[in-house]
Amino acid sequence: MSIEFDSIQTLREALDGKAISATELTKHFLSRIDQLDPSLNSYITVEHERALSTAAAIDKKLMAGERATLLGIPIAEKDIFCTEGVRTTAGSKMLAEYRPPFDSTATANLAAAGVIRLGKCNLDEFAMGSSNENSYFGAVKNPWNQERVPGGSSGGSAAAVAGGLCVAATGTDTGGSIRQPSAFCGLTGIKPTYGRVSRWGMIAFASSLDQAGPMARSAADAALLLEAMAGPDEKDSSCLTVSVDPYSTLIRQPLEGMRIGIVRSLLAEGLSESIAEAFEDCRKGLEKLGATFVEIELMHHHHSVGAYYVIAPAEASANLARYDGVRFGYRCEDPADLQDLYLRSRNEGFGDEVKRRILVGTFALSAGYYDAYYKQAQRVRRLIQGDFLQAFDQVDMILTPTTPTTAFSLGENTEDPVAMYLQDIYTISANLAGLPAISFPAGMSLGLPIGLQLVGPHLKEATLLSCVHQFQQVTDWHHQHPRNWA
Amino acid sequence: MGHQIDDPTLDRVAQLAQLSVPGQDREAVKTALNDVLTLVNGLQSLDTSGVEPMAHPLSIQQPLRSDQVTESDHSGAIPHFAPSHADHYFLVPRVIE
Repeated sequence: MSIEFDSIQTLREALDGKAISATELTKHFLSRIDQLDPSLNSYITVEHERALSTAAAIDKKLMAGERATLLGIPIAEKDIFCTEGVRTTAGSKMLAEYRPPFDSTATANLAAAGVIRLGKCNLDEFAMGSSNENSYFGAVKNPWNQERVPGGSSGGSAAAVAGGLCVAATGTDTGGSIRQPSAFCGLTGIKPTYGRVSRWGMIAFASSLDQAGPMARSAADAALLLEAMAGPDEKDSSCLTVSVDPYSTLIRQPLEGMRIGIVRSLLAEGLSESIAEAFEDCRKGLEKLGATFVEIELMHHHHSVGAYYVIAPAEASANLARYDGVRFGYRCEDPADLQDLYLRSRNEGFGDEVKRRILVGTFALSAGYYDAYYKQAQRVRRLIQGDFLQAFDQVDMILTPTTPTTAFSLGENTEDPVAMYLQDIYTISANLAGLPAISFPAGMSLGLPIGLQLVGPHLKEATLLSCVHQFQQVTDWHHQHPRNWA
Repeated sequence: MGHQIDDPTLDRVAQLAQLSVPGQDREAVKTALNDVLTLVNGLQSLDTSGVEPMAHPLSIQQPLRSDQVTESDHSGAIPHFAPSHADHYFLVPRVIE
């Protein structure tokens, strides 16, 4: 049986045609996880019993003739989505034993659509990182080359999908955490418009930037998952109330007449040659499909990393103030007094990168520095968004690389936080502006996948998904899988 | 304008953040924080006079939901998530002598 890299559509037909049962499919993935994940470390929790009992219930529904696009499809969830009664760690010692009393809305929506959850995927602690080396549960390895990182922070989700340890996975993206690992692992991952997917029950990192989305093998699979995850939610007041587009139908739209922007300055310094070549090949491919390319400028784009590393840590320092060792989460042993309890619980419960960002954020929000850092970053944020809105008067979407390089080696950037932060140079601006952006595979270099990114106007997820889907009709980068992998 | 984090600033920020920075880590933490500040100090060169700070990516009005109770009272269950609790209370070391 070699079905671990099949599309949702293929599995759908197999399940509906009774060529395979949901239980058999689930057992297949669980046995692959048991056998192969010790070398990847992509899962923090594998839910054998729960997945099999869900599968058994779904088999009854399938036997009774019930049909739905995601019914019986085994997926994994990033371990930042709260799951009722199942530990939800956010990759942190602070929440190593936390079992939430409720499901996140995204989790509940996917469950209602009939997916089978195989387990919870590893991530950088509280989603802070670009390599998945900041997890309390250990680093994740890239199935394409196990000496390389899978990217982060949704590195476990990316490695699990790329390694054929689930059909697709959920991720969250605050500055690139869906798109960068998707690029490093050869996947299609979309960060929707801010507010498209509810943040309720998604453990908060930076609330004005966080957004959930799917990580999948193709735009077609991602469209099906996003359709299920997205939608209005009364429990999250920042969640958009407009109805969800039928992405899986709209992906068939032809590319003809689409105008795609190119920003020359983003293709200059620091971009690896192989990615620059893949970019050019992709541009030609999209032109053949009927798109036209327009050169545009994003005047303030080079300030996006700076603005992000003020705003995200500032919001994180406020969000992570709740972890005080009192109400939930880790508490230190034998606290001498209340102050000692706070200090040691936080010092022992958080990892180095999380503490570093809390300190930066606290500094940026502190008296005397607030205007110079936080307010200034918010003003720059508006300028960055303004550039995009102006560009979208001329073009339907913008094509950029997702990352400056392919997956780097484990340990390569761990001593230099700023070098790690610059990994997100192409992805951060979409979060600051609240725009949808998708990463898709568009080449290979020395056995490692190359990802490119399309950024679109607010709520134009369908445009991005259809462009990638059309590209995937004439290319096979998304069909390639790790060769030295079982 | 390029602020740097010195020892007194580090102490003040750590106190506000309820974190402590042990002696052997101080230099490494200061270096890392100052590297981040160098990265973000570039923002200071930009003229943003007249630009409204943007706190949120979407300029939409906060929707209000109807004033109806949608969930039952979980106050009995919540303390069970705490590291230490008794009845309806979270337990901490003695605060008032």
